[in-house]
Amino acid sequence: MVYVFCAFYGECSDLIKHYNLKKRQSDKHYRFDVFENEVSPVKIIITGQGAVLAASAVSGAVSYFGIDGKDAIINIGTCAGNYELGSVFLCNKITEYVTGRTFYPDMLIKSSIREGEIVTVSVPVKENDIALGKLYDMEASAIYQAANIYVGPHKMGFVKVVSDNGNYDNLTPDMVKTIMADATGVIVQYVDDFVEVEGKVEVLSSSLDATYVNQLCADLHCSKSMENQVEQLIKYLSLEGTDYKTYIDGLYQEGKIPAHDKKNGKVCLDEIKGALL
Amino acid sequence: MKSKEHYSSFSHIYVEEKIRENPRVKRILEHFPNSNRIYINHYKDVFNRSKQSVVAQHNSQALIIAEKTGAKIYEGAPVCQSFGNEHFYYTSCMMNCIFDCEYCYLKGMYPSGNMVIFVNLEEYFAELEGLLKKHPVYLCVSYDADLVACDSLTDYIREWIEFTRKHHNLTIEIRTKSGRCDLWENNDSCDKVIAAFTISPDVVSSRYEHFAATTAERIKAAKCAMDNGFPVRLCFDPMIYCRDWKHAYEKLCNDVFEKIDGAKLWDVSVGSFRISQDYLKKMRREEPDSAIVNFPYDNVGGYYQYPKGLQEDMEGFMVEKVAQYISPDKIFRWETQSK
Repeated sequence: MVYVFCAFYGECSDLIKHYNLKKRQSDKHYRFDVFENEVSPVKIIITGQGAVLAASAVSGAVSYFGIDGKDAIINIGTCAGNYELGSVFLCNKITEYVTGRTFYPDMLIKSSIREGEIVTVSVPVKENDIALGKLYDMEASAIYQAANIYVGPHKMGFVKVVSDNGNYDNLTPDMVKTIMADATGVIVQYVDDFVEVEGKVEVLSSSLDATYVNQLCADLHCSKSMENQVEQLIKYLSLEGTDYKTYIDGLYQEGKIPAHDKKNGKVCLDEIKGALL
Repeated sequence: MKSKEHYSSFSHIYVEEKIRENPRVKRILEHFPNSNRIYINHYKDVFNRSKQSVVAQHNSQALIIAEKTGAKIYEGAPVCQSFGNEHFYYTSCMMNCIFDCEYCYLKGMYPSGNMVIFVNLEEYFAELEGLLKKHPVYLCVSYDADLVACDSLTDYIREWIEFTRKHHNLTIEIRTKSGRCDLWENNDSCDKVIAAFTISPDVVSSRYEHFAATTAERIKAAKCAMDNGFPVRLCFDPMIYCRDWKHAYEKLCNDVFEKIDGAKLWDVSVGSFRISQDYLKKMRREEPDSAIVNFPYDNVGGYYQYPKGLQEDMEGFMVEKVAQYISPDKIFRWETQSK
């Protein structure tokens, strides 16, 4: 699953439409607005403005939805910078202004989006404080830090669209919506690429026939240490494409399995290893 | 494996800010004019990030260019073959490898799959000269990377050869899985620079040693180094188990000694795969689909290795085969640490 975190609804309303997501019924255990549907591999969560809310939204989502290392977290939103309004950036360096700490999401998946460095500040940055070549937002570093407790930098992405040059007094929600709407095409492409590549990785990962292993362990009267050995052996044989079941079924038919006791179980395990390795 | 959805290797290069004007840095960057350059404070800010996936990063390996601080020369690890040298050291002027061997201990040892090049090679030389004043040194310079494979970027092979030539009590080993011949042809040979080639059967190299040279290419490169006057070491280490391992290693032996005169080899090492339990634990997490990583190894004193009988069979078999071509006193077997 790809979890997209945005500070405001206006930053993702078109994305919500694109993925045909519906607002989840509010829940006392997770107070942030969540947009989802039953089939979409994308959920969008509205964090509110600033680092504390952003980190809370990520951390809460991890517990509430059971986010783990297989899931991806993408932060999408607006930022300030000395660029043409509507310019889209993929952040390869995130600096937390208050501490000076820097964070680097992995840049692995090909994207046509221009890359840039972003500084996360506590209050909106003013025109005169904008450094050349830098972008400014209020959530990215917090989202990175909260997310990185659970997922790796290869599972994170930060896409920002320039909404102002520090003259934010004139910025209205409608303007934000318009700017983000114009960028929706490239953002959707980025999110879809993330979904596709990450999906492939998951499909590759093999699963062990746990029921078979548990039954075999029980029938061999395995100790914990023997259980680990059996599991590792079956995993290896599966990966090698060895037909271990036929051989082990033979031991069942010969009456060697179920073993009488742990000692006999160990003899059987050694026999399996000897025959199949 | 690399796919079209991923950036190519070194599409992103992280450079420590303090060395951005370093001539070596500039030379390396010239090789990648279209790369995205990201300036960083310290290489560990990128290399040591938490929860990195070495496997995912190998899909699009980034390059980090940095200056090494602290100790640069280390004493040899117990799992490494010392070849009878009393003062056995290794050094890492690069970290990680452009090849992607599934079983490589670097995947368990380092928190990142990205590659680091340290550009302050002169400081390595200075530290080494301090050691050389005390005693002779046998130094492995290409353990935690493949210096030969990356030499187009660094020119470090030439630098190490020249430095070694100037120091009578220094012997270095340059270990590689690269098939490059040009370096051995174009650099003046030195009898204290051991060109060491890790050689695996085709079935192992094609299945597990992604992007490394083929077995035939490595054999050719070893012959090339030998013909150009470098002492050559062949490392049948790590030996990797496969169902028809006897046939695979017998064929390998035949292929090698059909091309290479065993009598002219400096020495040979034989050792079956072994690895620290901590490294393998991490690798099993990272590579759940890799058969080699998930072999049911035995844990002996904190190191995973093949079950005793199999280990004996594999190493004994290979020693016997190799002994047909090279004097037994030149065959080093890891387990016994004796000739």
